[in-house]
Amino acid sequence: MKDGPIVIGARLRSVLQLERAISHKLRHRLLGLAAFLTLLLLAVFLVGYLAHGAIVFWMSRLLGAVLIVLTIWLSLFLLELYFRSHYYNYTQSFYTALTLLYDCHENKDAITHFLSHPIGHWLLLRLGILELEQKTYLESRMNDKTSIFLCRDLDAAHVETLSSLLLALFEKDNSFATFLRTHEITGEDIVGASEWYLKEEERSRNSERWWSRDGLSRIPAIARDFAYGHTYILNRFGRDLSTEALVSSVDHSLESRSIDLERLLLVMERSTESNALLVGEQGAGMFELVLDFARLVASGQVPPPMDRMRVVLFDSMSFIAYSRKRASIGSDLLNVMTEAAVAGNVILVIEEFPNLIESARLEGTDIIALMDPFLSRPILPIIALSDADGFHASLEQDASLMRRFEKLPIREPNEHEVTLALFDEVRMREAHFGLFYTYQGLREIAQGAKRYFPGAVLPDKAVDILEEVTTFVFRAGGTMVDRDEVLKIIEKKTGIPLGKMASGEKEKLLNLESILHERVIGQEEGISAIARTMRRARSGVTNEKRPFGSFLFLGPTGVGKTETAKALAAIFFGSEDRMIRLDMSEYNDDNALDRLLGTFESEKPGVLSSLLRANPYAVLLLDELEKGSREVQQLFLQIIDEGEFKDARGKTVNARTTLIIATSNAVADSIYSIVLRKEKPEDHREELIAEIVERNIFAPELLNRFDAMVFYRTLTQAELGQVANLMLKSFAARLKKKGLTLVINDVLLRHVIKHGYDPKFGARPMRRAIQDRIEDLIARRLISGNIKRGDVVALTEEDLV
Amino acid sequence: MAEKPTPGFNPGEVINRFIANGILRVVGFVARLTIILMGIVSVAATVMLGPLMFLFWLFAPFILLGLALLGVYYLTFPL
Repeated sequence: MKDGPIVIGARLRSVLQLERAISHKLRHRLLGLAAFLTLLLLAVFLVGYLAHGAIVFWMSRLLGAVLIVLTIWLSLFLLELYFRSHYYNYTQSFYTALTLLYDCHENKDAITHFLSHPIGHWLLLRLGILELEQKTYLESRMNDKTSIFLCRDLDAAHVETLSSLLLALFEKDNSFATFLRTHEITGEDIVGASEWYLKEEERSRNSERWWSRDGLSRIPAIARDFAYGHTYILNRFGRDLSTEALVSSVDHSLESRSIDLERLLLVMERSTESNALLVGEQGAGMFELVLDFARLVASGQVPPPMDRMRVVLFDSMSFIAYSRKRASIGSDLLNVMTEAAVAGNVILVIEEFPNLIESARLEGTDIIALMDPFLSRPILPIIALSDADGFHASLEQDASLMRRFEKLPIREPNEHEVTLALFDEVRMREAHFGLFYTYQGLREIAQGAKRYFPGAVLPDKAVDILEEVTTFVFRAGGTMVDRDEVLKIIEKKTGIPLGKMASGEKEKLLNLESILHERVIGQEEGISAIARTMRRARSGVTNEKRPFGSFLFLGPTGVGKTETAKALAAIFFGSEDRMIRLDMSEYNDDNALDRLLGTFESEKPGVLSSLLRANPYAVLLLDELEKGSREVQQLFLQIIDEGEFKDARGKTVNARTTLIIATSNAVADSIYSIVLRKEKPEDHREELIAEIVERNIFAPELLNRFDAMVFYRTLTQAELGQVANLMLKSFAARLKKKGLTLVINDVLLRHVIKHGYDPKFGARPMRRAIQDRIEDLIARRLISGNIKRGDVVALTEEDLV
Repeated sequence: MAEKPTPGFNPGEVINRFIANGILRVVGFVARLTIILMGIVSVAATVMLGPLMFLFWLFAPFILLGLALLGVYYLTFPL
């Protein structure tokens, strides 16, 4: 039967008490001192014995001292063995949980106990709760007799792991939970911080355990390769990873790699065709995976055929550089491989495999045919590395090659795994820069790297951000790297307003309706729908796997659809120019998709994919979506749904940081007639949607994907007057730059409305009226010299006739 | 990529190579032999010390007690 935690707890209690009385670090020092004293006294004794030839009076006393010190040494040593037999027998998590609680008296408050414990203190600091805040809370808790959570209320299940214990404390005690919530700390954060603590402890615990297999195998062996051949040529272009892996294996562990490593081992253990082809991007951890593999091989944790083989990294690039000159890539490679196969203890890792093949091809050599004898027989296991592009371009089509290799795509690590990897990265930087990183900061880096830099490779990108935040905080003279600092950096890099909503932005969001109304006249219902959706997006409650927002604007032309999109670009991405506009009427033929996504044959990049790659943070405006072909509409359905798509080369293009706005004047006529009846289109929503579906303009599933469908109604005459006013104002502003002041008076307004009013076409004719009548008039006068710079122009009825 | 021999038969070079290779082989032989002997000695030592350590482990409490008593005896009643 498995021992329950309480039974084990009792057994561990003595160990824990020993640990508290004299920590094992101190014990190790005592042990060393006793050993030293014993040996010293023994040496003196021996020297004396040799000098006198017999045991004289003082020497027998010395012998007594030697024996007593030796007894002390051995006792300490045995005590240490006792300690270790328990210490290393339980998981770090369980051990830590017990360390926290074993001396908590039944009637003591568990939270107070936790907070005054060094581990609890460490955890709260990592969660961003400063010393002073901890103290204040502790004091207020001690004074408040009502909030008590007794240690005896914790049952066995709670102390099984550190995180279960912490979650129990978090969930069972209201006052503590409220305290953490005011600091925006969730249960997940607590678990994350405890993982960090355990990772650090585990590290120091394992580094003490020199006698473990992993520890012993770190000592390089001699004479291991006596029985194998020497690789003279390979050594010129190769690096022996087995020695490298042993040195650097302590840091940089990425849990996600363990799955990939498992799969790699399965391939390499095969008796024939034990060749793996790793496909992944630079920085995705492909090289680290090979290092992990080399470490396993070097420490003998693999089946016998592979045991202690040399994992040699073959530097293709310098090999090509060397052999190309002599046009002998093929024969040189053959030499390298023959030599490695004859040596009998080499696992060959080939970097940049597609490059090697291509270079040889240029030379007229078919490397694949040359390699085939080595690939098909078990004499030389090969691991080839390739990036995705090279794989698609030069490897994938070759059936004979793909038969020899087992393709292993490198999995991208998820947020949690990236956070774990960051723990390792932080350790050195904390010591070097004297900074303190909070858990939330690191988690934000991991999340941000994934969410806002979708094309980038993890965990590389996360480490880059960490680097930038570190130097940023260090230069600013700060001491703590918190969530806010990380958000600031991401904001700087992307231009997307993030972070604690600055008061300015808060106002912007709360007053989004009125800000939009400054530029868009009328359309109250539509604008409030947009504002609601945007507030939802900005508060962070939306789905991260979708675009920032997606809207379908329906209505006649010239009523403010494009203007709204521009306004949103200005508000959320800082400038009107942050808008990608695609006229969907251009994409209604058979090769529309090819033009949007690019084609594989012509290698021409697609319009949509390159625009989105160049401007990932922008409003994507799809004008007249109904005119695009069905396939194109399907594509956007997918983009809105998943926030990303694949281009012709199979590379993912991200749209999660864009705001997608589609416009359509599909049911403009119906909206017009509704408005003529003096009713609101919003009240006829169902009818209009039914009409769209019936007339087969959009598929119902596409309509359902949009965050909001907004109906723009025809503008009334009064509203058009306001539009005219706005347009004239912007015209006046342009004139102002030329040094002219245009007075916008009633005469002018009336004139524009008179000639530009057409309820069917909205504000469009109005713009034309201003252009044809007012701009033209002023231009002519400027040229003829009737008006000049510095003049104030007020047009009268006579002028306008 | 290998060293290129000069064309034709060159007795001086052949003797040179013979001597150099011979010396290197002797050095290699001695070095390897030493290492292998050291290995054998350590394996033998481990095999022999193992049972001794096991015996010590079994009787550790008594041995420790005995050592302490003996130590005190020598301190109090020097020879």
